[in-house]
Amino acid sequence: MSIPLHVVVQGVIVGLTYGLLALGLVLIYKTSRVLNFAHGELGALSAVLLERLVNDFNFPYWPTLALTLVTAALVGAGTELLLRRLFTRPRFLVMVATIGIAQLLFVLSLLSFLQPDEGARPFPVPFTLKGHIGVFVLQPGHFVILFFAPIAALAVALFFSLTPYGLALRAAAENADSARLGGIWVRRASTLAWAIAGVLSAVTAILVGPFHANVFAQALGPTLLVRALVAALIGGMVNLRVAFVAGIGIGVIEQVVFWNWAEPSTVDAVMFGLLVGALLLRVRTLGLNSRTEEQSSWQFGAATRAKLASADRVIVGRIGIVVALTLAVVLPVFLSNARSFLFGQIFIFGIIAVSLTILSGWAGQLSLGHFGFVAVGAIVTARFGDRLPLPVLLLVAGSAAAAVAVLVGLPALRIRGLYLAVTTLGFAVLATGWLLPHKQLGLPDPASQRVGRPSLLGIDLASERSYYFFALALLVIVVVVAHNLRRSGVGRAMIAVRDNETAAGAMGIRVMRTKLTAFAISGFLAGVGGVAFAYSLFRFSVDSFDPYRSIFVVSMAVIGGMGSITGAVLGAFYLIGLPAIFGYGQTVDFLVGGFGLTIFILYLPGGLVSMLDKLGDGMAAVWRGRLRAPAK
Amino acid sequence: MAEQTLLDVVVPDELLRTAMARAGTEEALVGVELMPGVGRGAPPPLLPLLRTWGVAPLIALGLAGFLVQMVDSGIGILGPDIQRTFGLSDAGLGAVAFVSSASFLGLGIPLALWADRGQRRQAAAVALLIWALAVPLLALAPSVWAFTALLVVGGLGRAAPNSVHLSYLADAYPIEARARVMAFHRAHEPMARTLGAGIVGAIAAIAGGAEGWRWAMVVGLLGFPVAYALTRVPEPAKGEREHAHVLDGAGLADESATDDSPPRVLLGTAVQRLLRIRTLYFQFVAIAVLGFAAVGIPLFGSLYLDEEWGLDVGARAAISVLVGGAAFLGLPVAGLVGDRLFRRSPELPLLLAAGSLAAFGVIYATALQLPSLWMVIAGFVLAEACLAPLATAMTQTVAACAPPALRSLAFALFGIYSLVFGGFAGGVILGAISDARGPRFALTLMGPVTVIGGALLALGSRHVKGDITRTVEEILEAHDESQRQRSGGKRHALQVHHLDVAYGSQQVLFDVSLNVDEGEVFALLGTNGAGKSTLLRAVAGLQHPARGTIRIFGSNTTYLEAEQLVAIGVTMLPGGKVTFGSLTVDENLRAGSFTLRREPRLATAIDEVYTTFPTLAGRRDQPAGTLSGGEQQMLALGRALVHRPRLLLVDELTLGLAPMIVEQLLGIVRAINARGTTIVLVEQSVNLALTLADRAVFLERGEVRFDGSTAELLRRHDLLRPVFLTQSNGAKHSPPRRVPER
Repeated sequence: MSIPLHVVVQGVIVGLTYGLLALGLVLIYKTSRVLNFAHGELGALSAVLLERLVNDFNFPYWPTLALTLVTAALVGAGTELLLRRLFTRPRFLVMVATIGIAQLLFVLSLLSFLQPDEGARPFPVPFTLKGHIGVFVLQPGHFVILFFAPIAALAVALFFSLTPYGLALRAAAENADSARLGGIWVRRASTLAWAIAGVLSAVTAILVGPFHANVFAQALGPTLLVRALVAALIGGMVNLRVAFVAGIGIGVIEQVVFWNWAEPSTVDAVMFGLLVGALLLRVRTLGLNSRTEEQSSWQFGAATRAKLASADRVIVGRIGIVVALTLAVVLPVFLSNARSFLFGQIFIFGIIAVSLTILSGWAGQLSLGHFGFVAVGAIVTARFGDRLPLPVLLLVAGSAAAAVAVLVGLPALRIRGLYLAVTTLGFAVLATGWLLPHKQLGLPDPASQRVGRPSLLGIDLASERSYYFFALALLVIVVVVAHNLRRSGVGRAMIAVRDNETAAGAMGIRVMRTKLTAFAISGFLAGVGGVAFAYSLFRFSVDSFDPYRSIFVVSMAVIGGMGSITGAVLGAFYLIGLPAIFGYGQTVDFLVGGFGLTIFILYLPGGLVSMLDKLGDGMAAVWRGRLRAPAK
Repeated sequence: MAEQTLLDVVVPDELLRTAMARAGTEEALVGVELMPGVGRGAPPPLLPLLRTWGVAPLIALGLAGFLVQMVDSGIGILGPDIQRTFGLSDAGLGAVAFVSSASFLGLGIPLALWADRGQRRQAAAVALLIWALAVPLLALAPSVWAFTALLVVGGLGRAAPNSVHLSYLADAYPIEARARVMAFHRAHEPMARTLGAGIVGAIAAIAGGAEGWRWAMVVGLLGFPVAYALTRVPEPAKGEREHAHVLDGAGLADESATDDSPPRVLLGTAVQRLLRIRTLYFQFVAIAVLGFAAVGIPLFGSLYLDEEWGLDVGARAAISVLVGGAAFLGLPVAGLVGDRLFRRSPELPLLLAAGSLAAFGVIYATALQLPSLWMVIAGFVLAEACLAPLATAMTQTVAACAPPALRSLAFALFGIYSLVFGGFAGGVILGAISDARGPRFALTLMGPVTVIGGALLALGSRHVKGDITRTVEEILEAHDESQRQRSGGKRHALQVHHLDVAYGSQQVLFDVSLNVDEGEVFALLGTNGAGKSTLLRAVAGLQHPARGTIRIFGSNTTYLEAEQLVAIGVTMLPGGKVTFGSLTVDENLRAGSFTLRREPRLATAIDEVYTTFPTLAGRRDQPAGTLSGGEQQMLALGRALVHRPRLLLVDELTLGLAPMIVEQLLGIVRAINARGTTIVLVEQSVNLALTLADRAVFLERGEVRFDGSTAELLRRHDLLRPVFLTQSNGAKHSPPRRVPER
């Protein structure tokens, strides 16, 4: 291993941007206790605006820069105002809402009148300096980063430690009620924090602007996010200085690893190792932190209903199930082959969403990397699909995914809540970056893997219609299994562990075993879903398991209703079914995209299932009224 | 606090249903004779009333509305000319229209806030003045940017008629004539759409040429005299009519009992308060449905006429004028019927509105299916006529249910709800449906949608009486208080009247009333979960009540925020861990006195804390999280003391602390009290509370079970024994707890 100077410099430059991103994440986490997935996008608009105005309209650089930074501050503040009504809800919900907002802002920055003209000049920089260290040529953009990233970081640090407003922000983050009683306008403080985050994000976006062909598209994609998060986590999510320095360190490590091994997949693996290492280290030093507050506020569980369902209500629910099943069975008669495929996808994603519900909704172990487990199922399918009969394949794939899930779950014995979620996100990145393309462990043909559909009980699944029924049957089995699991002792143990680990342990529940069981069962079902998913596609690649898919599944569970089986299926129906029924178009994209997600979380935080429950309650009440009225 | 979703309100859960049932019972409502505007027989005729109260304000406001609306409709008609002048595309014109209506909605809120805090005639006049400055300048606009900017500025004038004017009229004329007055005012709109737009069009035509529209903008100059007239009209006090009616009905003398300097309620708090008023909540949601129609019909109605009947622009414009004129038909009826219904029972107008909304949609949707164009137009006219009673009845209900001091804001919110939520759905969703199935199908959907809207209004009408009751209660409370102060009653540090507090649908406090004298130590005692802390939080401004009034040193602070209350000398020491753990002791004290950060006395105040608590002085630069429990509590107490509060609320000061520390803290509390600070403390330990407090209130399950001196409380074994076994002289088994009679 060699570490030439220019690699270190390069690492520092990259690391400075990671550091800035980490600062933004820490800033928001510190003040709002939100993991802000939209952080990169808050400033993306400003970067695009700067390029457009300076290059195409010949605006002067510095005033325009000021204008775009103000824009970013407004975007940040606006985001906070939108999310504010969620701040009393589980943190997790807010996090998913930021995912929606990220998509929304991303779409905004793609608006045609914001896009720079074709063949435009390079991204504007305030000064042009050039130089080189060894073989590495330093572009003007590099110098800009070297100058301005530390200045921005210093400004944030000074604001926090020296000004009364910085003090007010810190106090408000610690204890909102106490701060209010001291006369600190907590809500305004929170808006201010988000405005600062917006500016910080814009600075980052503008600094990296010269190095991105399409400015900051997908600025904070999972890959980049994981790096920034590792830095933020090393700072314990609260320490700005440590986070910034850690960001630089990570940049250097990344460049050194890349220089010596030149394999992007190795870098991903090293990052995952760093992530888990940082977490376990942090747990030891800052262990208290993750145990007290993280536990309650990151819960994923559904609110419990006030009382048990009455007999009437149960009947109404059963009628609903029968009607839904009948519709599902009759539906293919009216569908073309292509449509059958899309509807089949609903069921497959339903299986995956149910498996997520078991792990996150019941056992309380939030997973942002569920598609990694699905990928394991797909790998098994690709490698052994033609050799094993389908039922055996399902078992093998499920077991393999379960084993991987248990491995990923091992850190969960030490860390929880947000930190665990970050680990699973890291796993999702690892799965696409390292596992799937791996020569021995991954897909035989990562670029374009073919799988031929088998037959089951003498029925050839090659036709989309027969595959539709296969997926439906599989979903029904999974739902029945999950339903029974929830009513079993294991299910109750999971819920108990979710609600209060200490108390559950005191009551004799083996907390560790319960957690790992949840990981195993959930992983198994996700692996089964992976087989169904792989076969449904005929041909797929590494990209079919993009980490964004994991987040997509999470939004499915949220839109449907957290912690409910019905909700998981409903969420799949909404996100996959709406486009399947109406076709992809402007409106549908709008409803199933970031906008729909945001609106859903803001105005229907209980998810679709809460609507269905209310409907059922209403019908049961009417039913009861009808039956009892004559008796009076 | 969990916010309630629409779903929870429309389909209430068990808890909420019980709460609503309680609120709806006869004893929870004031007598009908106290409800403003309710009475026997036919409402008094309008003309004599106008003669008594003056017709000038009504005319001036109507003219203002007419002018503003006239130019608005005129710009709509002149759109193509303007487009040509500036070389705009259709989309460009749409963008200009969008920006201008967004500005008008956006400016509506601050304008309403200003009107609610100050004088409405002033707000209306200034808004019109700015409009009158901006509109003639439109004629000189050199570019589309200048044009849009001027439109945005002029938006202020457009915002006034639908918020400030309505609030003014509600107070300027008797409640018995409210619907008729509102209907009269509303007539400016169809007048402007027909007559006004005609005038503007005519001026442009006479001036001629592509730039003729510029001359038409000159009508904006008419705004100056009208604005001047508006400054001359009298300004009625907010809620004056309701006040007079209630006090008259209750047989009390009306000696103007308004607060001398009502503190400013913040926008966010005010909006929150309005949304908690159930009648308004239902109306806001229903108005979104109407916005769906208001945006959808102009957009897709002309598309329908074009595609189904092949009509050109001229014919479509003629139809829209004809249909717009139908509003004239509905207005007089709406006014008369509205007043009659309200007089009989205040919820009836809302039921009328519900019926009108549903009728509108159903007639409109049916008309779309008719075989001949004339029948279609007749249907449209009939549907439009239904909208007039809808508008006046809703205005009337808002005026009755919203607190008088927040009426402008309530009306302004209507615009937001209607256009933002309804408009979005109307534009985007109907657009998608129209693309897929044609405009006729999309518009037909209006039928079922308005029926749902009507149903929501009908549901909302169940709450009207309860909401009016709140207003009446507030009037009576304010009157009692001013009477008491005038007759030289003792000055109270804290007064709580009929307080209900709820978290979501879970009500915690029920009708709690208490008085704390200045300078005393007052104890709040009670069982676990009795609502003691909630009461303190409500007083401190951390939680707002659903009903009732809180007065601190005589002024009404019910809807003030904690941050505001600190400034007037109220602070609280919350229970539990309340220090900022990662901040140093010194930072804790400075953050805890953020409001004083620029005042020179802060340093001395902090030094005083260190003298009072010498242990803290030694740990100045140590993170507060590393202090012991007792030291943390000292720090928290010190943080409160920096403010030198006049009223100090203390929640569980000594919970879990060693007896030595408790003694020390108690000494300090006594010392604070001796300096003149009134102290309200929540305590679990009765003994401890009794050594400190002169008087106490005993809460059980959110209700006051005892209010009196502490010595007297000691004799009440029935209350204390079940809760605090220490008081029961060795009795092992407590008697079954009494179920409070409700």
